[in-house]
Amino acid sequence: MRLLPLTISQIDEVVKEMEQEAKAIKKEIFKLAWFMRGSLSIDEAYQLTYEDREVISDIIKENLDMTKETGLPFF
Amino acid sequence: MANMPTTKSNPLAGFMRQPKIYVQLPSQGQYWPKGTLQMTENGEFPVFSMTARDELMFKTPDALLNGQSMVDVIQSCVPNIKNAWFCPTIDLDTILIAIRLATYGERLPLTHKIPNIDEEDEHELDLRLLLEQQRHNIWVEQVAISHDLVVFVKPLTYKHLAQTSLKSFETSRLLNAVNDESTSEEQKVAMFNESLQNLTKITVDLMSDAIYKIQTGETEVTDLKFISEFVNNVDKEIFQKIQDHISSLKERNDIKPLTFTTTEEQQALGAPASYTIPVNFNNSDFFG
Repeated sequence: MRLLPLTISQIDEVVKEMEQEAKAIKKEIFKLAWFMRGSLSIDEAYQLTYEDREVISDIIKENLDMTKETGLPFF
Repeated sequence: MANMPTTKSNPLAGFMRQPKIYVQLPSQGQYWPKGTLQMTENGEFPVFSMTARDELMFKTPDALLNGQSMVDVIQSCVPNIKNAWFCPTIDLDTILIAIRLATYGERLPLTHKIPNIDEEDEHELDLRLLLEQQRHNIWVEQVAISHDLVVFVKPLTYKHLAQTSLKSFETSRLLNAVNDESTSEEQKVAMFNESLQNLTKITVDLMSDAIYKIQTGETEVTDLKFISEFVNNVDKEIFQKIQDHISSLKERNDIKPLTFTTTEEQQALGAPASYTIPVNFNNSDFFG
């Protein structure tokens, strides 16, 4: 509905904006699946909610920080 | 002891999304065609958070324009809704607010420009309050034109809304083309007439879709063909009366614009003492 009053170039901007946002979500999904080391499939990651993704991202960050602090190998 | 009926539950249920909130629909399930809404015992419907897949649907421009993304996301987040194309418009805002609330929480940050000055203001909207306001949406079906002519109207569905928006979009594209310098005067007149005809047709079609019954004396007319014929040939005053009734209901049920006041410093720069900002649920802003 918001596209109605827009000009062609403005619509083009909105479309590009959406494409970038979609790419950001996909990147987040693939990143989560990668960090979860096979325990989370891509399909399962797509089923996660915003809150689930926030929680998993926090856990990953905590683990990364802990690995850095302890000097244990992560990769 | 008689055997109680048992429901076999899915052993995988614990791993599935859980409902985040429950909402009552302003329509109470009325106006939903048979099979499009699975009613619950208490009239409250579970609402789930959007998944990443749902969020991606809202980032698909074509699906947004034709309404498919909205339908898919509503059906995914409110599983009792079996066909969201037939969602009455009086329920639509409630459903969208509930999905937003279930996904991102009750706070909706809003940034807007203060009129006349180059400053932005940030504000947070409590979606729970908005949802509560929506519960009081009403629909009055009867429009008494005269003592022997009563028109009965129903809320339009999301399908009507999406189709109308698409038609309006095409018409506005056509009108833009009229301003193109490379178009000849003759073509411009033809295009202008076409746009005007389209707009008139949209208004008349919407009216026909909204009317489901007309009572005249002892006779009740429910045949959509007759109703459409009536709308196309009725005099302007009657048409206006029905349109005013629908507009007043829409105005009453719409989310009211937010009113903000400005500081003395902002007023010294040219800002008004107070101003209003409409609350729009366009996908990009509302669904982040």
